[in-house]
Amino acid sequence: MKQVLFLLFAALLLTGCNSVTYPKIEHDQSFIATVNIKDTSLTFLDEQYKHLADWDLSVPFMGGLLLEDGDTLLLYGKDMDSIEVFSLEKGKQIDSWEAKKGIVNMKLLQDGKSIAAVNQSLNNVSFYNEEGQIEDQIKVGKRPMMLLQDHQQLYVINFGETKLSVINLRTRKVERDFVIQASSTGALLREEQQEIWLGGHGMGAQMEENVHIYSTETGELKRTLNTPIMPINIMENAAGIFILSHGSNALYKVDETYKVVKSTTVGVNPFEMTTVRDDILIAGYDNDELYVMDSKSMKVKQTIKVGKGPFQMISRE
Amino acid sequence: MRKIKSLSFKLWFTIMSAVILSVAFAYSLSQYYYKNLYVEKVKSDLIYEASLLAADYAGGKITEEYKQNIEWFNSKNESETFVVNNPRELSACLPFDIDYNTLISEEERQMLLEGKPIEKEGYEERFEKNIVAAIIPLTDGDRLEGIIYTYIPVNSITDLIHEFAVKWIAAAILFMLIVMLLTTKWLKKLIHPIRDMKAAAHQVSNGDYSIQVRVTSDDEVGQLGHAFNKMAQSIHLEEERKREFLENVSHELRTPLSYIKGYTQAILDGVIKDKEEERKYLQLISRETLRMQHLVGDLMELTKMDRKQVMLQESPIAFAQFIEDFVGKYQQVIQDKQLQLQIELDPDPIIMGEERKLEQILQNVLDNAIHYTNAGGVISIILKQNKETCELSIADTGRGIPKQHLPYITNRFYRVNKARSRSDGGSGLGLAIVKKLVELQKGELKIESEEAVGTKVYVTFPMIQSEWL
Repeated sequence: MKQVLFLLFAALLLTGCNSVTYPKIEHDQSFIATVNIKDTSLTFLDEQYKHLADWDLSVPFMGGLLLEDGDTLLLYGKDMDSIEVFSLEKGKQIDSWEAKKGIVNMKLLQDGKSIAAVNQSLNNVSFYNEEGQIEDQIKVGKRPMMLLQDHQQLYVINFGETKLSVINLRTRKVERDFVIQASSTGALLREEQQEIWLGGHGMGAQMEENVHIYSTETGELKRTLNTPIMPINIMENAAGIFILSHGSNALYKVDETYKVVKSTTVGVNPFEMTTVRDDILIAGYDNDELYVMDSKSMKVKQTIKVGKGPFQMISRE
Repeated sequence: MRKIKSLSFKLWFTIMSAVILSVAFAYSLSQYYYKNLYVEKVKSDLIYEASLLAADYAGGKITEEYKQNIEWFNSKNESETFVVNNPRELSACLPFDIDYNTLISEEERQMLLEGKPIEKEGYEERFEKNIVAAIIPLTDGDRLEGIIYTYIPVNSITDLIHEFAVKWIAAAILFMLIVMLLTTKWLKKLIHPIRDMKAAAHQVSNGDYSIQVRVTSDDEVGQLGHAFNKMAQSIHLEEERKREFLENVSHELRTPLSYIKGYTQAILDGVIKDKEEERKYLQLISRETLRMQHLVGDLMELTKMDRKQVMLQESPIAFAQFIEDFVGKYQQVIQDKQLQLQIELDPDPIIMGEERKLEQILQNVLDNAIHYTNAGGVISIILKQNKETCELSIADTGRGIPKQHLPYITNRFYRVNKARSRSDGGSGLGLAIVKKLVELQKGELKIESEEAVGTKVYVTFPMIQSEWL
């Protein structure tokens, strides 16, 4: 009898430990969240950039991915040997998917069901279904990092190799690859123009100063855009194409004619940029601040303090 | 082996071990402090220097002019100083795994972002050497625009420490040699009297009691020397006494024995014809035998007292009454010798003692007084009471004791008249026995005398205190 009671008590304790809860995010609440990797936290802001909630987690994640249902949040990291699954509405962890260490990026594919995970240690891309089961694993180049998708193809930018791998999503095989510049990161796919824009950090002590524009069809380098120093994030919205260079804390605006039409200094060592309505949001990794800018004027409208080391942004509208 | 076992070697070894240990300890301590203090000083100097240079930075992008200024400073300075504004070197690209060995780590970048300077000590892969370095941030608001990196190779510090160590060790060796020399000399001087004493002790054990060691110091060794000399002297004296005692005993026994032998031989040889004369001879033999018996009895008593084998059976005694009763026995003898007896006794004193022993004391003293006082003389017996003691004095108007003999008068077999005539004096043990008996009963004996005037014997006993009862 005593043993049964002890087991019950132990079970209660264990389940108690497992049910850490965080502030709930209502299903109809629009938000923008920063993924802060220095203090492994999430800072949720509402559509007015007002502070909504903080999730202080104890897992060494590098990024997060919100699934199609708008509620399930996956957290992954290079040093994690699992993908942790959280429900925003429940405010707690609901599942844990098996994974190998080395995941540096995840992307929800356009079908809204398949999830691609880039593993830098195994140099592959794994395809998960919504239940967290691996459906396919495809070997790509060295140290893959970024993923871009058009309706048929998945472009894998390999950081450790001057090679971009193109996966056919129907056959789930690497169909072809083409040469890109070294240490590429930060990418924009323009389907209509059939071009892919790639930024990067540079090699060794050499700092990258250009964005390279390649043809998705031929893989040929079409042109370069001088946007120093170390352009690592490229984004397009109705106002134009924006290039963020973290080495010089610079934001460049480029028009349809590939001309830099405007530039400004923003943030402190910024890595992440996203667009919400007419605003551009930029996260300062070194000073833990989120800069809200007007797309047209490129003026900072507002700054908001977030968790330490904002490295990625997740939004739900 | 014998040398290793010797005290001087042990002392020498202890002192030298202590000196070597102290020198070694002082060396390691000085090394530790020298290195640490020196390195700390270098670090703070580097930080100060870099901070002064950083003060010239006015914010914004780091200009070529500023870099050139720092380069000029570097060319004029012992330390290596440079500006870094490449964000890659400053770990700006982390958390991206950029496969590049940056000049500063992510943690250091964080400290610099907070405006804190960094001190470094150890091997730096970039420069492939051990360095002591300081890094000062050049910040514009929250932005880390660059750093001033300044360092000194540790080799120059270790060279300095090495140079210091060589001088130090040379000085230490010289110091130890001097200490060794002085210690050896000093120990020799210190041990010398002990060696002398050892030799002297050997001589004493071989029977030479006259040996005396030379005492040169006043310390414990000197005191030991004095004690040794005293001990040798005492043994010498004791030996003398023993010899003298044996001489005395044999002498005392020889005289009656030769009488006995002579008289007996005369009787046996038939020299004595007359019965009356024979009887006179036999009486003489009997007297000498009695004398021998007394002598042996006294000796035995003294030996017993010496060995503290005498058990006193003490009881409270009314001293005045006791004296009076005892003197009563002498009335006839005194009258016969035409002496005058004066008695003055305080009736109060009560002492603790054994009656028989007290009688023996009184008898010996009184016998002497009567014996050495001529007809018409006076013998006075006075008992007085002091605070805690009572004093009995027995004085005569006899011939007195010459001054030079007075200190030895209670010694065994000591006689004023060395001729030892039969008529003059007894065995020579009487006063020695008195002294012993008085002391045995916690009393004191004092003798005063003047030649041709008389002798006064004082016997002092403690009176019974109420707390004794």
